[in-house]
Amino acid sequence: MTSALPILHVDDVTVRFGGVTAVDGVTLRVERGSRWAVIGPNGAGKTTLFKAISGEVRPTIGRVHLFGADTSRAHPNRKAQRGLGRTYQVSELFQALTVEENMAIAAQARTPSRFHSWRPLRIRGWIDERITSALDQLQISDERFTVVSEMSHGQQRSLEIAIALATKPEVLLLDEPAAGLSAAERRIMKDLVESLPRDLTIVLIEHDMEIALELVDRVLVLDNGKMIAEGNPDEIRSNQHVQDVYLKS
Amino acid sequence: MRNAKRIFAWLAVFVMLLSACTDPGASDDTTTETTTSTTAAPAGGTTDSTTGSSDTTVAPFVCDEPIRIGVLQPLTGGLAASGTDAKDGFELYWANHPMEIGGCTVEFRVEDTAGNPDTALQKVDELVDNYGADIIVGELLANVTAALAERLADNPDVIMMSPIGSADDLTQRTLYPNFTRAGGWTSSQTSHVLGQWAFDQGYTSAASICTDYAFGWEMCGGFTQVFTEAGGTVDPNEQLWNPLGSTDLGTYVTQLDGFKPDAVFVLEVGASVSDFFQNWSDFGLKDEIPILAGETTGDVAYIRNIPVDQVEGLISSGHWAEGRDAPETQEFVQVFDAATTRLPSYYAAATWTAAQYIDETIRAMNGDLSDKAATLETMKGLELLTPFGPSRLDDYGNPIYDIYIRKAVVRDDGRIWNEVIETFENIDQFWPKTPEEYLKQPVYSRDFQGNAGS
Amino acid sequence: MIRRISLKTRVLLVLAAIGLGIGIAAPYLFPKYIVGLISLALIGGLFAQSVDLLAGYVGLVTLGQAGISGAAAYGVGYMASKVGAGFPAQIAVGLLTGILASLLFGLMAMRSNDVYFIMITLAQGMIVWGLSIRLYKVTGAENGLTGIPRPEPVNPYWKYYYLVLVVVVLCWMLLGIIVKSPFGASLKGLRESETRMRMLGYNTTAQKLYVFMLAGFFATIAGILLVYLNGFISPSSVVLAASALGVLEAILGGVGTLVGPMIGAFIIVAIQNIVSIYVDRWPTLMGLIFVVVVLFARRGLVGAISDVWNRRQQEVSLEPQSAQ
Ligand SMILES: Nc1ncnc2c1ncn2[C@@H]1O[C@H](COP(=O)(O)OP(=O)(O)O)[C@@H](O)[C@H]1O
Ligand SMILES: [Mg+2]
Repeated sequence: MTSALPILHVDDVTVRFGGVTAVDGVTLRVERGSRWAVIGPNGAGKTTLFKAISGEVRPTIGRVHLFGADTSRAHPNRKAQRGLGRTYQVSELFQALTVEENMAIAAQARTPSRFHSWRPLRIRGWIDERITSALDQLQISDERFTVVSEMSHGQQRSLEIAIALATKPEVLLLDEPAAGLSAAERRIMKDLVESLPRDLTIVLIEHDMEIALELVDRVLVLDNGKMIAEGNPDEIRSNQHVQDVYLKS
Repeated sequence: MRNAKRIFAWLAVFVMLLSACTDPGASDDTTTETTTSTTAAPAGGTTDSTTGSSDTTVAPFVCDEPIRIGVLQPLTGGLAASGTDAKDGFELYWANHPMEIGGCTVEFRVEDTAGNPDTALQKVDELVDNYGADIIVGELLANVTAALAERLADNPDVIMMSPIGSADDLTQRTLYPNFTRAGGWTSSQTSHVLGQWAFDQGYTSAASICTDYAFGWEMCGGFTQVFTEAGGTVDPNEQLWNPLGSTDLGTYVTQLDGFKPDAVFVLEVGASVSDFFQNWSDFGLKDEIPILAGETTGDVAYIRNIPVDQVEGLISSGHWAEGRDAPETQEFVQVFDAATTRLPSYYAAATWTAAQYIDETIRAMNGDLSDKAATLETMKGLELLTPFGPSRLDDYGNPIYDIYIRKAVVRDDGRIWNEVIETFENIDQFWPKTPEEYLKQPVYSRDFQGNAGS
Repeated sequence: MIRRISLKTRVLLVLAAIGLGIGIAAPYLFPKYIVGLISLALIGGLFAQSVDLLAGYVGLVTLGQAGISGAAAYGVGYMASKVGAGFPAQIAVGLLTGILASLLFGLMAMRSNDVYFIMITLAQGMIVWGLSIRLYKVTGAENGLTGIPRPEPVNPYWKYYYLVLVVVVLCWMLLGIIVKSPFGASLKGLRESETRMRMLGYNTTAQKLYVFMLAGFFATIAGILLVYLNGFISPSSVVLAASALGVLEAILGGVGTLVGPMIGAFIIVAIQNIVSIYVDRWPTLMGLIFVVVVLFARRGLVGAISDVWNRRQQEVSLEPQSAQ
């Protein structure tokens, strides 16, 4: 344990929806530059944990610290402004717009220019660089002028990440980036995630345990909202409890 | 985006509803008429009901151009039924009177305003500039009438006549040089008389329920002022104001019952009229508290659509009484009934009378309407016997009429109409005050009812 | 690809030039009545554009926009006919009431979406309508306010027409800049996914308030232009149907475009004022046209035309290969 504050600290968070306890006393300390996976069967509470981190739901109990500040009650846009990025399990893209428009909206999101209304939007300079580099990273540069709804599912999954990257986040939450992809596409996606800059802190939800474990340094296993294990990939692989949970699902 | 689509689907439904609502009431009309002089008028059966000057022994006069009249009424939308009555009245006058007057031909065109001032303003421009109208006759709503009067105010080549729109101030505090209400009335003119009559009946206290808008305030104010100045009392807390278009007046009716007044003055319009009478009879008040209805509420246009037992015997006041036993009234009633199978409302009588004023003015001017100021002066000098009875204009351009206390009676053929039970002769818009005295007070409003007791 | 776009642009430029040419020549080509109708349509078009800024670009359908333009018009009318103030004061108060109404209504509506947004804006329109009927000392109730003359330099109808033309074209250009601006792009994002926008760091509530006020500003301009055109304002300018007309004009012409609402307004004005001379059941006709457009041309006339155009272009480019 380092003396520096973790970049993300989920402190004993519980989220209840009426009678359902979706997340039950989860604690997570993510150091800057580390890569985490949150795994667990469907309905384990992984997405809800992300929502509690991003501010889309408020923790019923517990705190969420981001970048050293208590952000338990902050709105998602405030957290995003501070440098939190997030992708969605089911793509949340601007379907009727082109890839470039999607990217431009994301690229300007954390700059003052997002409220500029008296001059035209020009894709050049830093905004062009950001778009180009993110698209290059995700290997969808060819689709720059395609309308999103006309892209393949796999390309949409890549754009999902590219959009999040375009905001230049420091912490990135990836919710099942490989959801709905074929086995071959999953490998490509895995390589893409692997190639992301090392200084970017990543928390990844992945249903597929094998892919997840290859990508990260640390793993949190959830079942029924509760933490059932935490450790490095090797420890998790050999954890009997985790094996049981995965076999039953 | 899916949401947006759903919203548009809803809007489509909404649009269909809107368009269904604004369906023309007069569905069997085909197109807007452009009637020209070629429609020769049937010679027989017409009454030349002039009492005044024009005994046509004048030398025939010749016009270079037809005399053109533009008529603006709401023929679609919520007011279509009344607007159609108005249109029919005007058309029937000319179908029964020659449109060749001396050497001049008269033409007219009826345009639909849909009750919307914006539309009316565009159409009046079209009628004046393109059609070349000498006279504009319109409209039904006070606000549209005011807008038209304003638009034409500085046009010296047009005369504006308002036989229906009755906002008091148009012939009182806001005068336009080329505006006249020939064939029309001011709202409070008829309810003044009802206030006096109520006091004469021995009623000492009255409550009221009126629609909460300018026309309701003016009607109610006319009654309240004359009744209280005569010696009756109206407690301002017992003056109820229901929103325009209310259709559940039950709570108001219970309140009125609680006030235990000698009589209740009522001014409702539109769908509220039948709702009021329904509630009034449901609460068993019909034989308990006498109702005194304002002119439009008692008009045959409304009461013919209400169950007879709820309105038979209804007392109201008006410048119009289709059951008035006089040839000048009954000849018009028969012509209108034969053509439309309806007993004419005041809307129909008003435009017929406006046409009569125009007809007689053309005769008196020998067909030369080029000087509109002189034409208007001539019109103001006419004394006519109209379906309303004897009529002439005061200095402000508003008619002086006989005002009738009316009673709703079922005819032998089963239809209901208003017969005259008492006549107040020669009533102007200021009666019983002088113009100078009257114009010192503000126009009636919710806050100013002219109540002598408060 | 590049050539297709430039051909399209060229065609659009020619059309715009023709439109502007007719617009400038109109008082010399048409009688007063038609010039009046064009003024009305231009103002209606600006109003519909302000509705479309919300409905088409952000996906927030408003049924209360006439409440805002009406508040501005009543501000002018009150100062002119009740206070007797000069034109600068009239216009200043008109701008103020319109912008104040946008701010208040924006604050009320900025947290809602979809049907809730429709309901709230509908209620806002009803509030203004209710006030216009109730505050008779300010509004003249049903009778409305008369006696609102135009400023002397633009009093003749044709001069006023030019004023309307200039102001509407300027506003149109401003709107064009806004929808193409960074903020405009973010509005489209808001329309597509508010969740995503928030997660990207956009304060969507502030965004909605801002765009609501921008739309309100253009509605305010339309309201002021209209009150001087008619010299009159009454509750029928702020009824639900007046707000709904703006939405319908946008849908008819094509939502999400600026030219669409303008075309929609011209069509409606033509039906109301010219077709209605010949066709008695013109409101039904209007209703039918809307239903047909909503069912068969979701993106309005502009959308339908550009679809046909694109298909023709595709056919042209496919022709050489189609000889199988
Ligand atoms: N908004 C909500 N309201 C009620 N229950 C919810 C809500 N969101 C998630 N849940 C429930 O919480 C549990 C965890 O869901 P989720 O976090 O989506 O699981 P995972 O992402 O691990 O598959 C599930 O039982 C789900 O039904
Ligand atoms: Mg999930």
